[in-house]
Amino acid sequence: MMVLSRFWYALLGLLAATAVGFAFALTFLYNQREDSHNATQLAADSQTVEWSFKIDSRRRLDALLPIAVNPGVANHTAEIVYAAGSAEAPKIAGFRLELQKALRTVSAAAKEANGGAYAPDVVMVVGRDSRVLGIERVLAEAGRGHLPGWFDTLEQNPDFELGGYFAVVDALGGFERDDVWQLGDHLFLVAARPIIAEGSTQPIGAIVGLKAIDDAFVKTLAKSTRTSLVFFARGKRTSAGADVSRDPGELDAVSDELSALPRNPEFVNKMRTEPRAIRANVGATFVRLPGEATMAGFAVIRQSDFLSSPLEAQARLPQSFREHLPVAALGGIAALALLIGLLLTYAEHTLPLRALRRQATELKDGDADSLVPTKLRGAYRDAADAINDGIERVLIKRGGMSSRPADLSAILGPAASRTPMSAFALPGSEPPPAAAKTAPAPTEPPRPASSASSEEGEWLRVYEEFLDMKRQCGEPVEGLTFAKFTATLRKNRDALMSRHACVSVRFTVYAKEGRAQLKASPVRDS
Amino acid sequence: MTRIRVAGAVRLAPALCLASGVALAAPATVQLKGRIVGYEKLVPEVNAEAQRSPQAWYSWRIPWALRARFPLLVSREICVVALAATATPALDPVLIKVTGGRTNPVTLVVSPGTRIAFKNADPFPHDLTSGTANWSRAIMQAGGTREWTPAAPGVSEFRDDLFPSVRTFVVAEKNVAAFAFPSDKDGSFVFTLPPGDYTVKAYFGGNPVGRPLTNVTVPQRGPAELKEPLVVSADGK
Repeated sequence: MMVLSRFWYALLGLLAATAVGFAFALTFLYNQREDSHNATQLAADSQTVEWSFKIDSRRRLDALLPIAVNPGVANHTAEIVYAAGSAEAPKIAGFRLELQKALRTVSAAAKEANGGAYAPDVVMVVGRDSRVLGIERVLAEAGRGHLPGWFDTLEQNPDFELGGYFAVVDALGGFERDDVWQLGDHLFLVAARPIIAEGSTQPIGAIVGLKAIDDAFVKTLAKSTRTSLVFFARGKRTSAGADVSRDPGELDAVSDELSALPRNPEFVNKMRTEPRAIRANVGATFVRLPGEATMAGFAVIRQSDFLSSPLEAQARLPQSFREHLPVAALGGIAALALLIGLLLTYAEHTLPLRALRRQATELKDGDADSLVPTKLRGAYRDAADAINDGIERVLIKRGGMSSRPADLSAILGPAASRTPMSAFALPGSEPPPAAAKTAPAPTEPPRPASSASSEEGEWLRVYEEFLDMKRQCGEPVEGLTFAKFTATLRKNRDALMSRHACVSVRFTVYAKEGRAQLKASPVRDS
Repeated sequence: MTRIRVAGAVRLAPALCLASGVALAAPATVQLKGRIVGYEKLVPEVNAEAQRSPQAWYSWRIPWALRARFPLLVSREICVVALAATATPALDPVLIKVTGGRTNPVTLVVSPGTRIAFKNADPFPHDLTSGTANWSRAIMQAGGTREWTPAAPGVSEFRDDLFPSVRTFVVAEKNVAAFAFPSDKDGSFVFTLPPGDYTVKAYFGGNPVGRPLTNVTVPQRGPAELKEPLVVSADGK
């Protein structure tokens, strides 16, 4: 039946399916963890960028201090402010030139401080009456900053003012303050400080530093925070940058999201959105910048490292894992599984086949007239029975004497109609009395006293073989005594001898349909 | 030639042609001088609002001066008007400049029918919006101008969708004979008015502020001067 082999194959199949399912489950868990990790990382990245931006603002405020407290800048600013509307008014043009000169000198120093890291692109001096009194390019002039072209027209625009912006109002009111402005399509990081003239407690003006939030600025910020950043204002991207460790392609992912942000309550009221997926494997969180550019902000973008299948995981395994992979142990497990399978196949397939082949060889060589099914198992036994039946059928068809034992069933009637002893019962014989069922187990039969009773000796062997077969088949043997057995055989022998005119009858034991059976074979030659 | 009155000064402009903030065909006029007091504690509502939600507006705001206070520019924020006893015709066209994060002036009081011109004096666009009649939303490019005329008495507020600090109020009053903007230096202002009886009133943030001066008489010959200052503090003291 090859039960164990088949069970082994089923077990191996189950293990393989479990392993594949486990690999898919791990892939799912990995992707889920990656998604969760990405959301957490996005929140952390946005906080990092936000704080970095704040620190940058603080340092830009500090970088303006040398300009704001410069005596030349403060005094000339005061001269211009006080001269307005007074008899000194004609001197204002000269005062402005002096202010410009002082502004240039002190800005040059600011440009060199800290390598110009926090210097503004441009500084402007705003008088107490909110008019712009002086403009000086700091980094912009050195080619290290970027200003839109309209900055070149400011000096020729007498109407241009700055005094209404919250940051400038605060600076003129005595506060140092940062801000973010959107002027046209450009975002600016603004630092404003009061200018206090000597001997005064109130600001005479304000110094305003503007740093363009352009690609160069954002790239520096992205590099220091190891993020991918897109700055935007009113639904339009203004600048972007990514750390070298990030994929620059991530930056384009948020473009479609920007236009809806001014209507997003989270963005407008809570100043930031929860991290969310904006593409299958790209997440982003949007942070609103504090400042007068009310709908400006930045997006932190992060690409998820999802696995599309367990095979992708295998491809991505690092060399260090491969080096520590227990190859010997895994190979041993595979070899053991193979060996168990081979052993089971050998025991359940090769050995019975070999027995069948041996019997077939004996049959071919004339050492046996038929196969012996009782020495075979399972399907091989059935095959041996079928072969024996076939041989018999061919012999009879060709008119020869059957060498096959006579089928006792044919003589005694169908097995199903008989009692456990029915294999020995002649047609019409009485079933054994009920008491026989409770009869004691058969006792040891008496041994034949002499060689004259060789037939009795043969029957004794058949009797023992029959008892063994019944026990193998799980049939009861109680009440089946040797005397009853020989009586039945004798009747059987006599009937066959008279029918076939043979000299003797040979009985053999076999099992059929799970029951022990006897076959009687007429023997013509003694 | 058209003269447009601009924030306390008179400037020339090619398109509009009227005299200073006085009705045409006016009889001989007299200068009436006055002064406002008590404005030091006034803070525009837009700035007060910004302070109420600091997280939305800045990261750092640290007092630096010894006495930090709001730097109110009265020449932009406060409009003083002389109200006649009877209804007056439309005044000269008035130019409001949009620049520097606000308009100049911030509050303007005129009689209905007075033409108002908004000019973008910045080198970048502005987007003035208002719920008032006859005003549609349109981006004002750099140097661009838009005109609007208040048809009836009332307060019209204009905001800039691109610059939240911009909040402008145009008040249309029936009997406005003249308006003036005080000096930032000392709060003084000057009206040019025909002789007659007037009420002098100040507006701040689109609303009347302080205690108006009533029964102000402009004599046939001047110049004349208000006997007492116009108190514009919120409590009128």
